[in-house]
Amino acid sequence: MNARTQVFEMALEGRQVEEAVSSLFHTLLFHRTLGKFHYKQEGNYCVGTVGYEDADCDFVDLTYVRCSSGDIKKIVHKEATAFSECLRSQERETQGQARSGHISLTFYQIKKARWPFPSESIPWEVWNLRMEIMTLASEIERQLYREKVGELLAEKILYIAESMNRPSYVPKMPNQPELDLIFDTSFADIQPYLFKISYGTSPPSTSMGTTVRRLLKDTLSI
Amino acid sequence: MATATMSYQTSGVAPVGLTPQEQKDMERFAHPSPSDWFNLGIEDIPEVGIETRKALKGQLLTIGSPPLCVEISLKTVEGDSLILENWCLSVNETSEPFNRVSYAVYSRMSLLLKSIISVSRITPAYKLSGRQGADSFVLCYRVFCGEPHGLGASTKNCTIGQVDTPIGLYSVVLSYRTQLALSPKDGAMLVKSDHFDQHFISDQYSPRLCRAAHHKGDRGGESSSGSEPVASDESQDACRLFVNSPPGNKVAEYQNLLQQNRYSFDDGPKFGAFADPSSARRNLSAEFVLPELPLPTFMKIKSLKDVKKENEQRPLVTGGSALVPPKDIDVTENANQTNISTGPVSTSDEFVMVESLKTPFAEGDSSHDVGAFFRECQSAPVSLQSFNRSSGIATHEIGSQLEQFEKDLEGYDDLVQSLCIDSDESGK
Repeated sequence: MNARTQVFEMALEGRQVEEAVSSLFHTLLFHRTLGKFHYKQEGNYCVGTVGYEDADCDFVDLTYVRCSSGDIKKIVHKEATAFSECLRSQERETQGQARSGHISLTFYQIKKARWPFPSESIPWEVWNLRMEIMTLASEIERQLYREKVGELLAEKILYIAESMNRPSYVPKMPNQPELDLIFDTSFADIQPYLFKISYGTSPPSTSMGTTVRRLLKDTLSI
Repeated sequence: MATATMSYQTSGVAPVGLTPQEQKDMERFAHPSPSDWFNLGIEDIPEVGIETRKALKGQLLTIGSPPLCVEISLKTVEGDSLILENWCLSVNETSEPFNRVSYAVYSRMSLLLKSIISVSRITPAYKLSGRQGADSFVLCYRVFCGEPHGLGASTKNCTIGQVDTPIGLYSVVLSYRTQLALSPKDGAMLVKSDHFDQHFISDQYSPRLCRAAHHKGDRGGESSSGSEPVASDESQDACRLFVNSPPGNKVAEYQNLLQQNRYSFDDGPKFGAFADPSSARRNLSAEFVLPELPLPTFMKIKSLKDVKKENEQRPLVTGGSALVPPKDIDVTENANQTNISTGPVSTSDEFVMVESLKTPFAEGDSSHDVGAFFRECQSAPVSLQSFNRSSGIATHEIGSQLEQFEKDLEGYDDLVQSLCIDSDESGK
């Protein structure tokens, strides 16, 4: 099964990267988070409540909604900050040349394999953010770009909401023994689907299909 | 979102024909607290619930019935109103009819609510909500059943999501205005789209600052949306909605400050530093009229006595440039008059200082003022040694140099021609 993949591309200032990543990833995680399952006897369980809060950006003209869970805030903040620092250090090294990178939020499920094979993680939804750092000369340009990036992110959030509500594959609700294969049960107050965040400064690895296509093109061009 | 919650509650999805497992799933939803519907910590607002029930008139939303709409509008202190956005919940024929309720329907409703909450923060109305006040504009809401009013050409429509239920396909559609311009009434002047200036005390009324002022306690754990109680007049008119409104009446305080610092021309003329108000009051109109004359005409010659004294002191220089003796000058000796026009003292003269003209911070003695300085600069200084010695030696030296140059004239011509040839060759 191929994962459903979505790519967002944007060009923005270095100091806006962390907030842009946080706003989109928190919106995604808010949609993909349920209340904590509390199991009782005979297989009964009850679902907890998900709290949410507003988050205002300092460098972007935007307010977004996120789960009011300290743990998930820490995880997203840590990854977004690390990605931002990675891009900005690249900016310093290349001395003003074009800097770009990508960061991905992947929802996956674990499939147990028969012995002796290990279990594998199968992604079912991937959200890629490709970002390019730009340098603005004047404060007026920064102010205008602050609003422009806010509008751009607002469009992305609207797209996320529309996309989430379309009929698409979501892992089935598991039984209690298989709960850890679908959900991340490490959080004390919420229960998001299993997810991971990864980033890099080089373009993301392409799928097998595009690699073969490129090989064929190169071969035919010779 | 509270409206959607109330609507689902009033729809009354009946759990008929459930399997034992599904019954167990639904039992935990049977007696939830009001804030736990759809497993979301939504702070319900009683006012909104009352308005919603009033709009539904005790009926359920069914297929073919008019949609349930929530209209957010803006009203200015001048009485102008502008509809900013419409949220519409409608029911259509279900695409896949099925007989029983499953947890999937409930989870999709929860997902739709999350989308509504996320999208509600990105509309222009939300950004304006932080800047509303009693002296500028207020945001109002209205819940009704019927077709929503049009928002004009600059509108964005988007379907947030749909949920298929046994009683119909529920859809939530958002329409919001992208250009915030008020339409004219009775030929009134159009207000341009930046009427509500974002830079006008924007930092003071940002939702973040307002929210921080209202929620000073711990915001960890399950928190709410932060919306404020609504003032409702229990009528069909739009209710005022203060969402994240600024604490106190800072708009009025700011405008009062402006009033205090405002100056009016009726207060009378203001006098500059070191000015004598008593002399200015004698003839205000004449003093304020500036003559359209160049600056040199303001500088006038001294009295005739002083000029003759200076000319006697200055010796005539032979061999150099001779000073032109001063021409006859017409001076009207009037102590009160300050502007007198005369001719120049020397051929290179442009202006002459008038004795009675007092430069600022100058002493009373005229020999120390700027005029004396200018008079000294008009002619060559007397003390230069070169003017005292004879110029015979200098003339002899210059003459020999000129003869030498004439002898070397041919060499200089050859040099110039060689330079020209070199420049031509380099140009090719």
